Amino acid sequence: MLNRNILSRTRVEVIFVQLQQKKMRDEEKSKEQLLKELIDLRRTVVTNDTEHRLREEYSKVKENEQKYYNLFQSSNDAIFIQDLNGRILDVNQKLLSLFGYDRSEMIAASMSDLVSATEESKYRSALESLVSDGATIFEIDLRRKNGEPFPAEVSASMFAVNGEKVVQGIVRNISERKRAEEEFRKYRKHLEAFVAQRTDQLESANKELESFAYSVSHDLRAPLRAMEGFANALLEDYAEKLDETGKDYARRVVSAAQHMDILIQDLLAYSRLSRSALKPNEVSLDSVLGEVMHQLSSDIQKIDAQIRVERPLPEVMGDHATLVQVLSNLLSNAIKFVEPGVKPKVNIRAEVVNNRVRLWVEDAGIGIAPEYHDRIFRIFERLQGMETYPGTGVGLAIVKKGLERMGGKAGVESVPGEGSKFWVELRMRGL
Amino acid sequence: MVTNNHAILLVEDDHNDVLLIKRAFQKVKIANPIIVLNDGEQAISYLAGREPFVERPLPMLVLLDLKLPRKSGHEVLEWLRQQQTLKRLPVVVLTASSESSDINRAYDLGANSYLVKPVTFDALVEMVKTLNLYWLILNRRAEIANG
Repeated sequence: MLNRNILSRTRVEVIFVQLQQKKMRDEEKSKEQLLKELIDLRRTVVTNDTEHRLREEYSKVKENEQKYYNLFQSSNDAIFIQDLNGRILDVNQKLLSLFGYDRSEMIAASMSDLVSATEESKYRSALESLVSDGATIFEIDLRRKNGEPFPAEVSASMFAVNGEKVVQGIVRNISERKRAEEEFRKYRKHLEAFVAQRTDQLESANKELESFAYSVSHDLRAPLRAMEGFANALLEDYAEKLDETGKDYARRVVSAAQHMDILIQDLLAYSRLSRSALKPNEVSLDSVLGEVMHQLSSDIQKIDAQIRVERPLPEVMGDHATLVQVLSNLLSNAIKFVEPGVKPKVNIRAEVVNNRVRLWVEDAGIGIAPEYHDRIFRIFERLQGMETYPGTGVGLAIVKKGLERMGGKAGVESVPGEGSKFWVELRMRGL
Repeated sequence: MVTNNHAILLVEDDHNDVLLIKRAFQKVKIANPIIVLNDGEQAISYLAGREPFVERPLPMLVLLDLKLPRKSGHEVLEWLRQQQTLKRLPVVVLTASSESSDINRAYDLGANSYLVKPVTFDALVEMVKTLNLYWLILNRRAEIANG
């Protein structure tokens, strides 16, 4: 624009010079004549100038149009332009190769040639939403010249040419994407079926385990009752007919049966912990401990154990029944593992660290060597002979498993001869 | 008609357990006669007064095992609680199972108490002692029509 102004001005200057020369040449002509000529001359110059400018601009527009048309034709996206009646006005090379038509066939094609029969209404409603919204993206099944259908994503927008609205659309073949989606769906379905099958298997295994546990609790204990009961009957009713060895044997039957019963009960408790789902609730450790003390009260009295509890104990997230079992095991251990003849002393306290409650059960008993601190939590691990400290080796395994099921931890700090400090850790209430 | 009978009905299929329970009753010196039936079907026939139990005396207490041949203790209990006045009969479940599903179901069906058979005989004697004191001495009986 600036250039053209400069050019125009220069041209006017030239004209002015020409005029002056002419004026000198035609001095004799009248002023009126001169003015007329001047106006004519000027008109000619102006006309020439406008025409020049128009021609220049036209070629620029042409150039631009060619540029954009080339862009349209060589685009990697398949593009079409159609009117609102669905008549195709123009398409690019990519679209032609996508559908397999040549240009004239494509322009002549009707919508039913290009869109799968079942999808025509979908296409029409997409056009309607295009009219109301100005732009739309939709997926549709299209059809090639050879009849082969393919899934496509069409993003269409609307613009006006000479006041008439036309649709411009970009068509993308999404076969690959669809195939990937289908693959993914298939995998997911397969996975779901697999998970469902495994769940079924696990459920039936669980049921079997439950009925096994039931028969253990019911059927295995019945013969134990008979062994214990009749050995006892022998000792009572036939005492005078048995010598000391005979009585000793009968007593051994009684105590073995009793031990096996405790073992079965502990195993049942352990397996129940492993299979039942625990939902952590707010539990008051004070009330748990109250229940435990009540359960163990006769043992505590018998051995005259001193148990000190630093109340109040906090509330934690856990399962009440499991916590009773856990603390009962810890406390009965604490009063059991003392030197013979020593009165057990136990201290129970809690501390809060990082929103977690750690409950300590501290005894002044025989203690545990560090190399055993992990092992004692494994099932059937025992460090002491049955004669001095009877037990099944399941108690601390229940403690560990129980804490795991409640999202907590358990551990011990101990030095032989200086007592043991067992701890369990749980989330604080409401966290 | 008020049952004047003092019999105890023991429904139990394990003969060892029957023997041990009888022995425990002797130790506690309970004089009430014990009627023993070995399966759930017999228990129902007895309580209903069907053949061969037409002349049966009604018990004052039923001690009921759960795992029984033919009909389970749960089924016996369910049947009993649907009877006209017989449903008032106190039933104490005496079983080996401490599974909570068994316990809950027994109470749902109207058990009056649930006891788990202890393994040691001494504990059984203690249990029978308490049972005697509570169910046979302290507890008041309801009227039950004999029919």
